[in-house]
Amino acid sequence: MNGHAYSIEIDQVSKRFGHGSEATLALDTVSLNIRTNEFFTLLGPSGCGKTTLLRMIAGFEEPTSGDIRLDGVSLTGRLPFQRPVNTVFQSYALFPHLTVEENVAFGLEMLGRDRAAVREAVTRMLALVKLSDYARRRPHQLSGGQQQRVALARALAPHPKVLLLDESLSALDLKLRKDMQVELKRLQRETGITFVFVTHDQEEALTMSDRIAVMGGGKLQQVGSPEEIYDRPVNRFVADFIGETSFLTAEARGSALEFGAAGRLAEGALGTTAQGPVALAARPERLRLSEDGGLTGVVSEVVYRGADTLYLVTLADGQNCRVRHTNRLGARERAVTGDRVRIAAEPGAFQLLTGEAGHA
Amino acid sequence: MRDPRTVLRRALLLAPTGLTLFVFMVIPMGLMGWMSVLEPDTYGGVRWHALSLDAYVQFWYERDLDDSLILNTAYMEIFLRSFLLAGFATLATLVLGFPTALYIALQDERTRQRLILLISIPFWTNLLVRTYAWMLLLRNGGLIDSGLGALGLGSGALDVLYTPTAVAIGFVYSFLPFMVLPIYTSLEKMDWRLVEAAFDLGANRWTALRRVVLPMALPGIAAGCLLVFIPALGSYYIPELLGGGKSLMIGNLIQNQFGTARNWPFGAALSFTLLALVLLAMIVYTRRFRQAPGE
Amino acid sequence: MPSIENRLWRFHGVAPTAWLAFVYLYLPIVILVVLSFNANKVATLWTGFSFDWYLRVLENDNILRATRNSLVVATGATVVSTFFATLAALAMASGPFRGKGVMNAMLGLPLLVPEIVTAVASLLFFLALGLELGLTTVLIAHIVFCLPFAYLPIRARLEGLDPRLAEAAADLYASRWQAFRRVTLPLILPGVVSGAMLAFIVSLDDFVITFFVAGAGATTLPVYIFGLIRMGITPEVNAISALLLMVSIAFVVLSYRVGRRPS
Repeated sequence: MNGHAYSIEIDQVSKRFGHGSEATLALDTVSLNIRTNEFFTLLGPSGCGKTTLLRMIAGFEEPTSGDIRLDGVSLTGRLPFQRPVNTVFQSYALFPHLTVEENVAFGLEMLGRDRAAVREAVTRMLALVKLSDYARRRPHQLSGGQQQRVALARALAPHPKVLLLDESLSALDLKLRKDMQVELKRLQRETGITFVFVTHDQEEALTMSDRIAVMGGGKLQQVGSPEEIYDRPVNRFVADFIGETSFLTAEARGSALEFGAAGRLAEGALGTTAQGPVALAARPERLRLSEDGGLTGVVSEVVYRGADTLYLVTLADGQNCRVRHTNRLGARERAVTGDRVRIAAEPGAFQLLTGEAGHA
Repeated sequence: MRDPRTVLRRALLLAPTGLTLFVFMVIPMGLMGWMSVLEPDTYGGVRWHALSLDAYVQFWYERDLDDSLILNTAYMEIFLRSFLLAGFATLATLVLGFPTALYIALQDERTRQRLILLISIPFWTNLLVRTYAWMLLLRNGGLIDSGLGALGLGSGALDVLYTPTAVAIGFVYSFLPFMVLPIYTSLEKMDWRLVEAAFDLGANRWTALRRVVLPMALPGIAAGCLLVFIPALGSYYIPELLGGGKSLMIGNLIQNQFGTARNWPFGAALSFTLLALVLLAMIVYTRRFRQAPGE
Repeated sequence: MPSIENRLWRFHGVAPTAWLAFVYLYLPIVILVVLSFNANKVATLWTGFSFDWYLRVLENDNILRATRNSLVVATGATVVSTFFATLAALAMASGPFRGKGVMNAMLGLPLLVPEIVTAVASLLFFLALGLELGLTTVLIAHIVFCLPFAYLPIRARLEGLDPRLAEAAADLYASRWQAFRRVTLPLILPGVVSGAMLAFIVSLDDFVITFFVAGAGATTLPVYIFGLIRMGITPEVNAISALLLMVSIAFVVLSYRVGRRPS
């Protein structure tokens, strides 16, 4: 083990494309640290800068400013083939003229490993991704899932310090994607390599990652464990991008939240001790329709979704709020459109959003 | 992107092709322009320091014995005939080529590949030899002549070879693939659901063809017309062989200046004029369709 | 996708016109080839099958010399133009840069300018330089007009190439040269071969430009055939023409097969 706690350090990195008036800032002073042997995910909508960041770690792009370090050593000026980092491309980019085993052997051959070592590694890698029977096939003879596993084996074969995965599961259908998610976690545990995964799929990010960095508009929005990101989003962007959220404004007074005409929630609905007008986010499953709830409103829509039912409620002060209930066998709907209902909240259900004022 | 090594590598890769084309294509054309404004030497060649517009004047006027200029229509007739023949060839190949391209585009994938190969083979095979084949067909006592005779339709001599008609037949034959291929390319890229939409909105086949297919094939049609018209206009051996060696078209006239007439500046002037006309057509085309006609 | 099977897509008169076009294109070729096997001395009167004229062609020293010239020029022009064109295509495929438009225009010139103009310009250029007309001048002229023909299939192949493949090679520790050798080159090779074949046919078939820039000793096959045709229609001309035609056709078909090979 090396002496550095961090595998990758992104230090104040910005990336500008184009020149003059046509320049766009793809990445705006992003700093973050990725720990050794961590499954780290860059999550965000398309155009948020996550792929640009990944390509800069791989060496396909150079930062306009800032520095990227691998195990404490700057990568600036090092070309892709001089970095112990391998990539699983979004479209896999398998060499169409080479067989599966030739693809997997490619990196090791370029590193000048001897024939026997290459053979041994290729056999081990193909066994690892369960493709030993397909060694002599060409990429176009494989299914999407198999191609994906070849791409993985090819990138893992040189045993890089860091493995980069660029939207690598997005081309697969749902069932294959679920299987590959499990597979990827297993591979990461077994190889002990740091994985940096780029995706726009929040569910994928939440299930697989040790930590997630949410990115938006070229900026880093929040870094944390999946629980932190889901339960304690720091701003509207993160709360909106991940999971379902109701955005509300209220007046924090003491430990209570006042919603004007809609009523008030007493005792610790807000996790913090902020005072005055506040912008809030709440997950629908942290709220419930209840006789003893402190807020009043009218159900505007009921959406049945199999495992649960979503109630859209217009509060008495005109704000909209979502409440979700898990469905049980034989249980009736709790309300229908037009019903007057009351809403209660779990302690800490409301998350304070920073960088925004409440009502003016 | 601005990495000096990248720039250097690119320059080195481009240098052989770029220099070859510049030295042996661009400079010669410039030189040709220059030589067209020089005086001819007696036995071919030019007088390098004697500037003269004679070559261009010669096209319009003849110098009489007393040095006065008389309007001479002989060369203009040749130009006019060239334009008419090339224009006819363009029109005829279009009439024949558009349905052919449409027919190919409507086939299934495999048949399309085969038919396109069938169109491409004449595109790449020796034009001189293919022109010669028409001499076999058209001459008196040739296949068409004796065929008509056997049917009792011939009156003895067909008398088509060595006439402008034979040249026109040869043009259409030679340049038909140049029309079909670009039209097919534009039809191939077409979204046929748009035609279905036209049918759905009450257009009959003819209207759908005229209002939907034709406008979308327009870049291909324009490219095809250019690819037929330009080589036809500058054609040399088709009129030479099928038209009977008379100074029938611009190409023959130009060749003659380097053969028996030995008037290089006039030959250069004719070539330069032809080049200017072609470049003009190119510019108009590119302005209108925003792509090179070959693409 | 529309299909001719579907009544909806049957436009009146389209199919007959297309078949007329195909007959028009192929009838003269077929007749020429058939007549080249004619035993009769009168070139267009069929009396019986014979290889005689082909044998006579193979014994004709002038034809053999012209053929040798044609092959030397075509081989030289193909090798040089394909090599140059491959380098150029690699550079042209690498994103936008200053001068790309100029380069494109120059590559288009030999395709768009009428042959007779190129021929006159080349002739005047060589004469002005004081070069003696001969195989060298023919070779230079051929390299020039073969360039775009060699270039286009290679460029098309590069266009269809996923830029991620080169990145993947770099990511897997291949240096620039190794990435080119091991990934790019094998993948564009069909385009290179196809381009070389087209260059070869175009060179072999050229008449006008060669006719202008060839000296007395540098007669190529088409130039020689032109001379024969002007003297009159003979069975010998039929045979040599048919030969040239068949070589061209074989090359085109082969070139298509190679160029269309899926990657």
